Amino acid sequence: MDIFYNWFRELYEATGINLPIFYNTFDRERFFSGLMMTIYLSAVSLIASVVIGVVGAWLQGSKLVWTRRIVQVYIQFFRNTPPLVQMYFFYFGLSALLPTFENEYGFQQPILGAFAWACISLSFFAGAFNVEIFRSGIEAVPETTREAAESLGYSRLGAYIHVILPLAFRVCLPALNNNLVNLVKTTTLAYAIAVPELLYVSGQIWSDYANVPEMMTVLLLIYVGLVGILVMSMNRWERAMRLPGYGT
Amino acid sequence: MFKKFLTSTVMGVAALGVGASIAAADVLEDVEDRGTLIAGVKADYPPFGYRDSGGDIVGLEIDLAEDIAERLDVDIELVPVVASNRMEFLEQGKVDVLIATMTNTDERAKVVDFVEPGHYASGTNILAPKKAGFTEWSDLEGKPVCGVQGAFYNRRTQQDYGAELIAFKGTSEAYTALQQGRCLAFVYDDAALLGQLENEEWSEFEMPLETIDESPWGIAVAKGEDNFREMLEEVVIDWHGSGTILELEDEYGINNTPYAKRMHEEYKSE
Amino acid sequence: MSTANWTDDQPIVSLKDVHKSFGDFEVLKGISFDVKKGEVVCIIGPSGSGKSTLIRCINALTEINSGSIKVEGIEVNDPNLDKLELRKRVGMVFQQYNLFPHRTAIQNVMMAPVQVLKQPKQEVEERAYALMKKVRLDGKEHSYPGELSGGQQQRVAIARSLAMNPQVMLFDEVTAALDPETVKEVLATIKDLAQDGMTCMLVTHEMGFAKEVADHMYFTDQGVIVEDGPPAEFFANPRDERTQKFLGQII
Ligand SMILES: Nc1ncnc2c1ncn2[C@@H]1O[C@H](COP(=O)(O)OP(=O)(O)OP(=O)(O)O)[C@@H](O)[C@H]1O
Ligand SMILES: [Mg+2]
Repeated sequence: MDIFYNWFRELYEATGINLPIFYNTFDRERFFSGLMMTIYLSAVSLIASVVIGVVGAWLQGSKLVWTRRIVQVYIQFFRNTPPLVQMYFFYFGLSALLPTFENEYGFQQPILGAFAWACISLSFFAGAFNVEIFRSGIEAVPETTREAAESLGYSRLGAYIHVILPLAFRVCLPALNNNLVNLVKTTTLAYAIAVPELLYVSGQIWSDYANVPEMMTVLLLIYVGLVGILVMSMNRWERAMRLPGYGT
Repeated sequence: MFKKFLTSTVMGVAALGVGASIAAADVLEDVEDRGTLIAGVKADYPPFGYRDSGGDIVGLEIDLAEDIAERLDVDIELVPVVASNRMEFLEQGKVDVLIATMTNTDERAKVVDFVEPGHYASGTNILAPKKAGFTEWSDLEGKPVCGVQGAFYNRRTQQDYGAELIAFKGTSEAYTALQQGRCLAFVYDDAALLGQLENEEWSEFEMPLETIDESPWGIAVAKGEDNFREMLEEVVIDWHGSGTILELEDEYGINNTPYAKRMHEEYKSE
Repeated sequence: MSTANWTDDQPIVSLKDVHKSFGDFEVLKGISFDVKKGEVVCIIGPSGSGKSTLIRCINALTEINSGSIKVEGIEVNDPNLDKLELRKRVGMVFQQYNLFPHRTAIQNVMMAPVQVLKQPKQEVEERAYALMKKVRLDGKEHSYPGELSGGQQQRVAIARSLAMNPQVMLFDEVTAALDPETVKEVLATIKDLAQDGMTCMLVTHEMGFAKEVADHMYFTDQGVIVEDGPPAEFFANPRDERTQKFLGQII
C-alpha cells in the first residue's frame, strides 16, 4: 500500500499532478470520510425519499380533501423552490424555531445537526418528485385490478401495499431511476451547510494545495462511479422485476 | 498555464502603473499643490474603517489617514474602496494612498508599493462565547469550530489543534451557526472578528486566543512613488514608536495586539 | 349487521327495491329478487341495461341509492358495513380476469387468504393446489398470468375467488373476452361449481349454457326486471315482448 501511496508523491514530483489524497495521511483520511459521508447521505436520502414517495402517493389517493391538498402543497413547495434554498431554510431558518438541548460543553445546541437537516431536506426534495412518479405509476394500474383486490377483501391500504404498489413500481422504475440519480448528484449541496461530504472535503483539499484541476477530475470520476453503481443496480432490479407478459 | 497567464497579466498591469506614475511626476507635490490628500479607505470594516450613525466614514485607519494629512498640512478626502477594486483606484490616480486593511503580499507588491513596516497586522483568531473559557488553541481539540471554506488556516485548526471544523461558504453563515450554537467558536481573521465584537449581539463573546499566522497590513502608494513612500515610512515608524497605534487600539476597544506591542518595543527608542 | 338471525332456509341474497343512479341517469329502477342457497341464477339483458351494475352492487363495489341488499343477512346498504365480512361471503369474477400480474397463478390464489384472512400459509397452499386442480390447471401453478391464455387466466381467477371459501359467486360476463375454444373450459369449470352446490349469480350471453345450468332466469331491460322464470319455460315461452325480441336476436 505504501508503495502505491508513494507512487503518487513521485507522480507529483515528476509531473506536477498533485493528488495528496493518496500520499498524505491527513488528506487521505478526510477524503475517504468525505466519500463515506456522500455514500451515507445518498443512501439515507434515497431510502427516505422513496418512503416519502410511497406514503405521499398513498395520501394523494385519500378521500379527505385536506389530506390531498396538504400533499399537493408539499409537492409544489419542494418542486418549485431551489434545493439549496431549502437546505438553508431548514438548517438556519426552521431549526431556529425548534427546541435546543444542552450539549456536553454546557451550551444550547439545536437538536438536529447539519447531516440530519441535509438528509431531511434532500429526502423531502426528492420525495416530492417521487410522489408524482409513484402517482403516475399508480394511475397506470387498471382500476379493475384494484377492484379485483377489493372484492377479495383487501382494504384500501392492503390493496395498495400488496397489489398496486408492486405494479406501480414496475411502471415507474425508469422515472424513479432518473430522480434517484439526480438525488445523488444533489447531495453535493449539503456542502453549503457544512456537511463534510465529498465536495466539501475536496474544497478543503484544493484550497490547501491549489490543485483544483486534479481534485475536480477525481471528484468527477467518483461521481461517475457512484451514479454508475446506482444505475447498474437499478437496472438489475428492473430486470429482476420484469414480468412475463406485463408492460414492456 | 493559468499561473503563467496570471503572472504576465500582473506584470503588464504593473508596467502600466510604473509608466503612469512617472508621467504623473511626484504625488507628494500634487497633494501639496491641491491642498488635499485623497485616501482610499474601507467603509465596511469596523473598527478600522466604517460609517458611523451619521454616515461619516470613521475608524482606526481613518484616524491614521487624517494624521498623515495633518502632517502634510493639507485637507483629507476619503474615498471608500473595497478589496476587489482598491489597487485600481491607486493605479488610476483616483487616490493618492490606500489605508484599507490591505495585507502586504508579494503578489500585490508587484502592483503597488507598500510602506514598510506595516501600520497594523492581522492574523487568525477565534470568536467564542466567554462562557466557553478558551485560553489556548489546544483547547479547541475535539470541539466543533465554525470556519469559512477555503481559508488557509482551516487545515491547521483541524490538523494541529484537533478541532472539528464546520466550514461554511460565507462569514454570515458561520456567524449565524455560532450564534445558533452549532459550534463553540468561529475561526477567522482577527481584525474582522474585532469588528463583530463591537456589536451588541456579540457582547457575550470574546476573542480569547493568541493571534496566529500574523501578517502585516501595509499602506500602499502607486508604484515608483518613492518620495511619498519614504515619507510615510517615517510616519509609520513614528506611530509605532510614539505608541499612537496602541492608543488607537485602546480608543477603539481592541485588546493591544502582539504586533502593535512588538512594533512599539522596536521603535520606541527612536 | 349481525348475521345471527339469518338461517339457511332464508334467501342467501335478497334484493328489495334497489335503486341506483349515476348522476341524473337512473340505471337500476327498483330491482327486487331473492336467491336461495345453492341456486344458480342467470341474468340476461341488452347492453347497458344495468346487469354489471346490479352484480357490483351486491359486492358493494358500487353503492346503491336506496333499497336493500342482504347477503346472508348482512345489509350491504349500511354505512357501517364491514366490507370484509361481506367479501368473505361473496366471490366475484370479472370479464377481464384481473389477475395480479406480478404473482404466479398459485400466489394469486393464495394471496388473499394469507394476507387478508391471515390463514396459515401451509393450509392455504394445500387448498390452493386443490383448487388449481379443480379448475383443471394443475401444472400451471407457477406460471405468471402473462404466460397463460385468457381462458386459463379466467379459471385462475375463479380459483382465486374460491380460495376465500365464499357462499355466493358472482360472474359478470366471464367468457365475453375469451376465444370460442377457451369459453368451453371456463363454462365447464362454472358448471362443476354449480353442480357442487355453490350459489351462483351469472351475467352471461351464453344462452345455451344458461339454459343448461340455471335454476332461474332473469331478464333486465332499462333498469328493471322485465321477466323471470325457470329456464325451460323462460326460453320456450317468453311472455314479454322485449324478452321475445331479445331472445330472437341472440339465438
Ligand atoms: N361508473 C359509472 N358512471 C356512470 N355511468 C355508469 C357507470 N357504470 C355504468 N354506467 C352506466 O350505467 C348503465 C348500465 O351499465 P352496466 O355496465 O350495468 O350495463 P350492462 O348491462 O352490464 O351492459 P353490458 O352488457 O354492455 O355489460 C350504462 O348506460 C352505463 O353507461
Ligand atoms: Mg356489463
